[in-house]
Amino acid sequence: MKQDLIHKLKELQEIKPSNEFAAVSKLIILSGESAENLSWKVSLAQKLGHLKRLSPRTHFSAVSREFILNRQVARPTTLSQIFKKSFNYGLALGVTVVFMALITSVGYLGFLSPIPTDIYGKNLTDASDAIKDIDIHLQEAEYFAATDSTASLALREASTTSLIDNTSPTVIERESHRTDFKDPRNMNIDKLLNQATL
Amino acid sequence: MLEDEKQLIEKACGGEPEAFGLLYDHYLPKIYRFVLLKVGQREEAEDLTHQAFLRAWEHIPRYNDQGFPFSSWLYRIAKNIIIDHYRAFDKRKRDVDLEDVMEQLIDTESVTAEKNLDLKFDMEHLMKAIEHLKDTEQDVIIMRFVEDLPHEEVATHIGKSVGATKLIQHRALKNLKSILSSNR
Repeated sequence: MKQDLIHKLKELQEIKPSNEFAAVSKLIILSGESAENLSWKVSLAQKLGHLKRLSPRTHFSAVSREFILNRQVARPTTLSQIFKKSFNYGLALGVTVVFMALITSVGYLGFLSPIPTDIYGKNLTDASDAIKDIDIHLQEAEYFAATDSTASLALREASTTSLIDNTSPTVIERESHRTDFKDPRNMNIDKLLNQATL
Repeated sequence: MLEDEKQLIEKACGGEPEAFGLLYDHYLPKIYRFVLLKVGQREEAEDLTHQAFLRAWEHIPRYNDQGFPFSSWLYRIAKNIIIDHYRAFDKRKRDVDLEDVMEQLIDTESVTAEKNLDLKFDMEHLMKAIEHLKDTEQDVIIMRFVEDLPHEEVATHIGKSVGATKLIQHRALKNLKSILSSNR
């Protein structure tokens, strides 16, 4: 009997306030808002909760789902496609990196030793050496040309005039008149002529 | 949130239609409600919802998990679709016409027809009032009170801080109350 009573009293523990009352009461206490305002908000929230019942029509969702999932979207699915795609990316990246490295290294070298001075300086030296060589060769050619004409003239004279004529006193005398012996510039010629005649 | 949602997303990113199908089934009602409450027309809502999921399926390989719920990505797509829709066709929002969806709102457990009529009347007024709110206010009201999302998640969806979201909610409720009072 006593135990029955205790059991029934324990069942009273199951008595609880309704969820709605608990929610409103808690909100009123914690927010400090007016009870009227809060109850309105709770009522509005409940009404808005009704809108959760809105759902798409079954026919629409079935048709839409089927259409979307059957739509082919371009994706790399096979391993070869993935490899091809990644290879293309890799190739493009590699070319870009090499190109950038090339530009950077050229720029860096240029920064260390300016290209124009170095290359052009060397070329200018080579060119001036070549010009000097050309000048020498031209001078030699001129010299040989002059020598050739002198030699040919001498040979022609030798062939047309006799040796006696060249050594005859009249010729020597005539030549001596034409030569200014007092001129210091002709001193060597004079010596040479003396050697030739003696 | 779905169980194993992360795995489903990964599979869908890899092009598995079955995985995306499961995500579609789970998120369709939420996205549909969101769109419907914003456009107020059932057929328009169905078209736009379809477009949103189609775009999601097409772009899912580029989906980047940044720790935000997957639903926020879907909500963002849906929102952009709605904006594009009105912008592209220079359409004005039509009046709410939910006569055919009202049946869904009627409480089947309710005993009296009078009670159902009251509810229908209330819902129609409420939905028209939501239409008059600003876009962000609509988003907050729908996500907080229709979808029961916590402040933090709503903040993520609309791209604002939690504090700003609470403020927008407060303003939205105030505006809603004023719209409803003036309509009566």
